[in-house]
Amino acid sequence: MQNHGAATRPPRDPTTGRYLTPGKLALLALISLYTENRIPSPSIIPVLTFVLQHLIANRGQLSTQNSPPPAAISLESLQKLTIQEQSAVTGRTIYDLLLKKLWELNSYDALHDFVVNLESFLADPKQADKTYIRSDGDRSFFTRNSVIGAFIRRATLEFSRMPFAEAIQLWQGFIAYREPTLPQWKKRNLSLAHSTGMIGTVDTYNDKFLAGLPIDHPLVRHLYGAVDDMKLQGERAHGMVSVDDVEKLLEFQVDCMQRLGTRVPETMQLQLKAILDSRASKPNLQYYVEFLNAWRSGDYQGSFECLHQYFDYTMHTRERTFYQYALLNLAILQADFGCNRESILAMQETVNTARENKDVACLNFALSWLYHFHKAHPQDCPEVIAARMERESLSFLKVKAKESGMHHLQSMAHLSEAKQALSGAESLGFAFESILRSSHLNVSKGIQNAFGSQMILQSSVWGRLGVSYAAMLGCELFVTKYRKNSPVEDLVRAHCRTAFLIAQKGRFEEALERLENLDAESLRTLKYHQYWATYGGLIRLRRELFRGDFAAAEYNLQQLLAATSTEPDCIVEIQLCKVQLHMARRNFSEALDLLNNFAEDMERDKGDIGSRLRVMLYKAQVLAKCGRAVKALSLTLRAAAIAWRAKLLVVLYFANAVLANILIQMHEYAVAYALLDSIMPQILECEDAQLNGICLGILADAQVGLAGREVNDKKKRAEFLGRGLEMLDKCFAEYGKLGDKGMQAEVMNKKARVHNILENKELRNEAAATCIQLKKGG
Amino acid sequence: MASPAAPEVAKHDLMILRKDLRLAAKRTSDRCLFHASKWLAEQLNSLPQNVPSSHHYLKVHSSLPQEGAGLDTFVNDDEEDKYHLAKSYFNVNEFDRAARVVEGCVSSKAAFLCLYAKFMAGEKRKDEESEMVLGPLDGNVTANKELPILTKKLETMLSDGKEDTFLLYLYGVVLLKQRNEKPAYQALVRSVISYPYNWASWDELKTITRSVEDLSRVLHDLPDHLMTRFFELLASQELYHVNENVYTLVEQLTDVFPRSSWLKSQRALLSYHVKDYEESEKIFDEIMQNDPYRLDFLDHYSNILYVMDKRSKLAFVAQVASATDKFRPETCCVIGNYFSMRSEHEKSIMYFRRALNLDRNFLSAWTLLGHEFVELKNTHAAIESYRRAIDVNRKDYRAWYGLGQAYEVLEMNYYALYYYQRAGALRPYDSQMWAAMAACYEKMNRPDDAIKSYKRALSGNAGTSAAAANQWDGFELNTKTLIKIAKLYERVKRSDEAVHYMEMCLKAEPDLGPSEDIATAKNWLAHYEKDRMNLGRALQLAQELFDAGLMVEDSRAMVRDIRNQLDMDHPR
Repeated sequence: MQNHGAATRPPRDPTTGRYLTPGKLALLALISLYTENRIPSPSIIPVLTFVLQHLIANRGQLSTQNSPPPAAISLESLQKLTIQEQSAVTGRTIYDLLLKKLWELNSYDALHDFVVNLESFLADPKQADKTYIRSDGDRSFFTRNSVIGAFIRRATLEFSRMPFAEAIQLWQGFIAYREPTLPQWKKRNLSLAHSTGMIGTVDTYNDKFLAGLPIDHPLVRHLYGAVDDMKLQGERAHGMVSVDDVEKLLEFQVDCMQRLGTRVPETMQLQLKAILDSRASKPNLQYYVEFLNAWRSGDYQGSFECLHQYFDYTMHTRERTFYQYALLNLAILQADFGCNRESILAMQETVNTARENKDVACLNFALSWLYHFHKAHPQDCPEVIAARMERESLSFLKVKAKESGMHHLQSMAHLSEAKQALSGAESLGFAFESILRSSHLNVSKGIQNAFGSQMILQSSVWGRLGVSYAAMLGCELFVTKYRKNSPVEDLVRAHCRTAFLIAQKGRFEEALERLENLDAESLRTLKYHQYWATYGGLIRLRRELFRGDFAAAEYNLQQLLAATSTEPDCIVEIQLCKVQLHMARRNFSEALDLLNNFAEDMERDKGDIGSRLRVMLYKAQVLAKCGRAVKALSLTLRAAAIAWRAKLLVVLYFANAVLANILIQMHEYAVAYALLDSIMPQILECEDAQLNGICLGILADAQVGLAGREVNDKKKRAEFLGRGLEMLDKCFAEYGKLGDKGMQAEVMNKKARVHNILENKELRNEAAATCIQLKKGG
Repeated sequence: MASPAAPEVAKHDLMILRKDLRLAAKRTSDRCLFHASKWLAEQLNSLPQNVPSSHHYLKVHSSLPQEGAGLDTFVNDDEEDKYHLAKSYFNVNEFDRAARVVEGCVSSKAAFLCLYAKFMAGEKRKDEESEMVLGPLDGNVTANKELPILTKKLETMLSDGKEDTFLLYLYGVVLLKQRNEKPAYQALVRSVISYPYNWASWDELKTITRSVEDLSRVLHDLPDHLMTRFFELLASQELYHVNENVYTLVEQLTDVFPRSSWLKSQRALLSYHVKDYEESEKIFDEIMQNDPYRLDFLDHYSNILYVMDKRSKLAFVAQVASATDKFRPETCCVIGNYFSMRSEHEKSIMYFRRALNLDRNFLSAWTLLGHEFVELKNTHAAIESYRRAIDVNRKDYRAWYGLGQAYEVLEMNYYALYYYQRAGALRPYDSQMWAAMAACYEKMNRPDDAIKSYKRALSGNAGTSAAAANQWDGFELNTKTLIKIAKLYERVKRSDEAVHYMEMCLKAEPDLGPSEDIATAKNWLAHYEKDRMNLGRALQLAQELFDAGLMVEDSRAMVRDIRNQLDMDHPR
């Protein structure tokens, strides 16, 4: 019961109620027309569709589309729906009848009656077994548990628990709501308007007890002054929303951010804010929305503040049962902002609390998160956790997820298993099996938002196997077919991957364009924006490296290195690019140091085997360039052996290329040629322009080397050299794709020399000219 | 009482009245008697611009120069400063602090404020200790602990024959709180004699007058003054004592204060007491239109609408009240009445309780709360609520009546009878009271007394319906009562009287049309005539009954039966 003290509190905004709004009343009026069989058969479907749309949308089921549930039921939409439909009364549209219904409520008591009588539309539960057949003149009923039945019951319940003052506010809001339709209604009911003949008096339709009073009468002003204000801000009266609606809107926002990981567009944010600002009391959920918003926009301080605010406010209603979720949020937040140690501690606490409260869902989620975190940042994990992660980890998670029926988690666990198998150089078959298992779960249980991770992993497996086309296809398929329900993170990832694959073919401009075309909606979250930006930078960096624009590359590299939170896969690429830059500048010792350090880091963190092998091969390349061919040879052989075992075919090809290069240096031309020649088709399938260029160059070198061996047989020599020239031409084309003018010039130089040997003076001169031109241009 | 209008225009008198009222409003307001001050200022503002047609009241009041001397002065500047400090504390509800500041002061204002603040502090503590409405500590258990101290202090202060009206008023109030009515009465009378414009004293004096006789005695002791007229009107109204004299009073006062909403409300209440609901409603409507923010007496208005069964209008009034102030006992009562009318009794109890939380002495709410408890069959709570209502104001006949009803439900008829008698004493011309009393007698097997009471109820009805033709309980109650009387006569084996009353009942038929009561009467008469072998009349009555479709089974059987008998007598 409220007490005296409350007399001084500020007046509440008249535009809010708990559940009922004028719009909902209008909807109820429409429903009552339906039960009175005033709506002829052809119109029933559109009318009921409209009603259900609002009711079900309110339950958040339609919110999967990226639009918020329609909170306010505007009169315009009602008008649009009903003005065309003829009603059962001749000469009247449904809209006319609806207006009549609305304007018949000419006093608060009439409204009260209207709401209370709604219950009579419900079928008697005692006769539940009876089937209801519509017959003319008879009323149709709703069963108590139908959507509309439940809505009616909820409406009457909410009305009956309203304190009087709130009910009056609803009434005033209703008056403001229907006000715009007065002229239409008057036109339709001319006789009525004439008989009352009020000019300069208050519209008696509003309240029959004010009949005949002038509009500026103190009593009228006293009662409906607030309504006038509302009319002035007509928009607001129309958008009158209840607490319930506001909560739904907030839930929608949370859903957007949590499930899809994206923030709602700015315009929508402003609208929501306007709605919320009109209220005196904020629903608690709003703090959560603010928290998510701040988090996604990268406002570390703000998000902490809001999270604490939210849990402080909810503490008294939900008590300790929510503590673990608070911790969980906190841990994820910490991790997102790079406070890994803090994050681990918070997550451990989460695990403990969840165990204590027997919250299996939370526990499993926390463990899964911990596992992934451990994988991503092994250096930050305390020993205890690391040890435990190794031991229980995935199999434990899998079992738990299965037990508690958390299919999403189970699917993810399978994927993690596959990932682990891949990065640990284990059986490829096993990885495929895990992916298939996950895919099966996704399909059979309809886990829509897990498709992304699965398809991207699949695509990366194809990539490793050197089937670049299939890899592309996987990403493309995902982006075109599953984008609707998948987390934005996966979408961004898939986009970046495709772009990277395109860039590998040497089509840098196209790749960058593809990145630019990514939906701006997806990039509202800071983290994804960073990810996207990193990929853009990476592609640009590679382009500049190939084009020999070292200053720009250096600048770009600095920028990329400055970013603190980059994904592990990007870090590898960036480091390798750095090595390439050093190599291009002939800083071999520095490149070697860098590679050594990096290899050590990877060793310690048990990084991806593919990356480690690539580092090894780069090292071998450097060594080979420095003339330490033998050392390079052993390194390369080792790398190739591992790559073969792990079925890392791309790396294997690369290893072969390096190996062949070393062999050439060691004058083993025939072997080198044979080595590469046999796998050339597969290499071409990888669609890696750089790799192609390198391999073709080596092949040409091998041919020329072989030609050098044939001192006697001129014909054979010419044959070798001719083949070499062929290779050189192809090689020239590949480097052309990359825009690598330096290499092109080198190829031309070789070509000129071969022509010199063949004594084709014209062709030699031509090649030499091209070479000089390329060098100048570069 | 009515005197001829004075011949010459007394502009001067009007001016003096205005000045006096202004001064009175200031004096009461200075002493933090806010309600009195509000009332006085209201009347002051309802004076006409021009001199009214009747001036005798203006003559009557003309104040003596020494009247109220010393009420506005201070002994020295220090006391004045202290007084201002104390008053500001009082205004922000820091009563104890205010009392301490002006302790020991001798100037009229300061001395009064000191004691009054103490009194208020005690009241506040009492309210706090009472805790929940109808809780274990609510009611007479907790008392204002300052009262004995205050009494002593006031006694010493007033012992030297000083006639400070406000101190006397406070003395009266304190004594009243201790149920020491005689001295309280004397103190209050002294108070109003020394300064008639002290409305607070009049207001208290009104609560002591318990009956019409009391009133006439009081009036005898009082000076002939304008304010006495106001008092007389108010007291008569509260005693449901409506007669020509009272109406004249209202007329005359309205001449002087033509714009007074208070007077209008009194008039409306008078109409309400004689069951002229429409007139009453009309006046209240007018008041509401003139001053939409006025909440005083709106609870009575809601009662009227309740009785008139005008639910949607009641909702409207509730809306107006709620728009003005949600946390006023009047508003809560109106809303409670509305919910009661919608048969949402839990909600209505909630609102009445809220009203009582806001003001424990709010009479209407106690009575209405009792009614709601009766509706919910919570008889014991109902009895307690009614009892509290009576403790607040012994003149509320509805509470007495309600108590009677509650005891009747509990089948404690003797008790019930006592309470009905009390109610009847307050409303001697209200047939409802008499009918209830008669029912009690009937149950207690005292048919003679019951018949007398019923007859009284009949006459009461006739009296009021003559004064104001009302349709609600006129004939319907009559026929019921007539049948009851007839049946009682039948019980005491005086069938001639019984037949007489049944026939009387039939006479109402042309006005009332067919109804259950008429049918009962006809049925009874038919049987009676049949027994007396007056078959022709019996057949006619039975046939009428059958044709009207009332008591079909019974009448058809009777018609057949009588026909058979007739056939037997006169075989075809």
